[in-house]
Amino acid sequence: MTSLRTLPLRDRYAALGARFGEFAGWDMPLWFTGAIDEHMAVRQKAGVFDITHMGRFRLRGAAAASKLGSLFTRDPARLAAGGSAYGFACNDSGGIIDDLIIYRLGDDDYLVICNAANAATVGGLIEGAISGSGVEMAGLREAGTVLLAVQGPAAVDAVGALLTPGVLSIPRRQCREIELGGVSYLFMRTGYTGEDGFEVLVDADAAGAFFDRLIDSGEALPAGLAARDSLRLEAALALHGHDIDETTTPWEAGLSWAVELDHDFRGRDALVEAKDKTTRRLACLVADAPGVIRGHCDVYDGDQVVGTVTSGGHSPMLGKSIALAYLPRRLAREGVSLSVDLRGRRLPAHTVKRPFYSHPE
Amino acid sequence: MTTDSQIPDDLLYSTEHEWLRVEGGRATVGITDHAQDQLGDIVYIDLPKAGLAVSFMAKFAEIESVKVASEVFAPASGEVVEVNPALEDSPELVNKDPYGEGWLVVLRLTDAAEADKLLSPAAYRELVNKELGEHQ
Repeated sequence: MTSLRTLPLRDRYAALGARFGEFAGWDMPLWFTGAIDEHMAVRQKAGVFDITHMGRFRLRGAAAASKLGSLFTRDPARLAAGGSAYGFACNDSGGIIDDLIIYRLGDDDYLVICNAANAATVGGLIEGAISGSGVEMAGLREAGTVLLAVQGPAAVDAVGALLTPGVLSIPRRQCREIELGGVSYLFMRTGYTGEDGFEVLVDADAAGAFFDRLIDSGEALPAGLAARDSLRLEAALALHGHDIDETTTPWEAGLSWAVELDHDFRGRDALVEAKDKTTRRLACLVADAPGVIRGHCDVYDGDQVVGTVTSGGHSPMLGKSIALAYLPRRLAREGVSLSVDLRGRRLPAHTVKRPFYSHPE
Repeated sequence: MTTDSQIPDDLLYSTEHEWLRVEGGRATVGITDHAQDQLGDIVYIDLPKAGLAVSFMAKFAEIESVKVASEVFAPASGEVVEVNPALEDSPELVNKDPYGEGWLVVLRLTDAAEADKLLSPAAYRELVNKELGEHQ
């Protein structure tokens, strides 16, 4: 058995009663008090997740934007300082190697955050692209940084009250580096829950104190990967390795907004070719009877299999099971009655508009 | 590592983490505190209907937690004579009170001698500690 990688703040989580489990080679908190409580805390107030496992690379150099742009569906050169863009690293067929966010920290200074399971692959791609260009690359995950996601309608105010009101003026999807007491924090107003909030990158020493203050303030509940998964599913945010992978294109996943065809990148030609020719699309399903839909369940239209569930689970907000599945285009619209096979039991379900849940404005 | 989950002294236990409370020719069945703790928040329970005949250690119910679907095995042979009606709307009762309000079914026992095949509280505690050790 290979040994799991350990979070710098693991002892704190163990002391809070966390249940741990393996994810992408890391020993991660699955839940603390309970996944549903944590889910609801993020929807109603705030929760804090440790997402230190995620891959992150800082690129500095005059050619950084063009080299990253050659790999990704978004063109980093178009970002203003402090901006971010969600996009993909695609293979030559337009399949998704990983989904990631590029942040522009300053002139010729970028941060890429990608999925934990794909960090080595994405790191290798970037290394290959910048080779000989003079761009410097730093793997921040290996440099002892911690990434904490503080998410929920009260998250931004909580971080502002605890650390600095300076964060309150950071707009959605923007980031800003702020130095506090000699410690550098990167605040990114992004997330993976469908709620407002920050992802905060900071050295491990300062991260522990920040986490403690958040929890002690009572403003945020510690939350684990189980709640992170149910939150992202309710928000219909794709999970790489499940809903998107190298065999699916951004078109099929309904993520065309994250592809800029007017710059050159790996997989662009294939994506141009495939555009408007997709035969399937990622659709949202809601169960019409008790039961829990899980990944890999078959979806039926009458007695015919029309697709397979890529992600499924229980929605605490809807009180029902929800799922994502690739369906033929004719069925991937609102209000289609289907059924899902749960180990021999046929559960009725219907399609809904994406997402399942969004925070009321 | 030793378990801090509750293992009441007056029950019998299966190796699959069910408990059995025998009262005359009937027995109440549920899952243990350790089992619910491992599963995490329970969101749905697929229970049999009254009248179903179950046999020793055959699957008779399914529990879905936020994390996983898990089978429940009958710690005794018999006929299901009662099903906990509260679990349809409140499956979380199994998390909150696994030996009380979170009971699953009542069986009319057909083979009293089967109780000898179940674990005592001490033997069950040993099993749980052993499993926790293996997961370290």
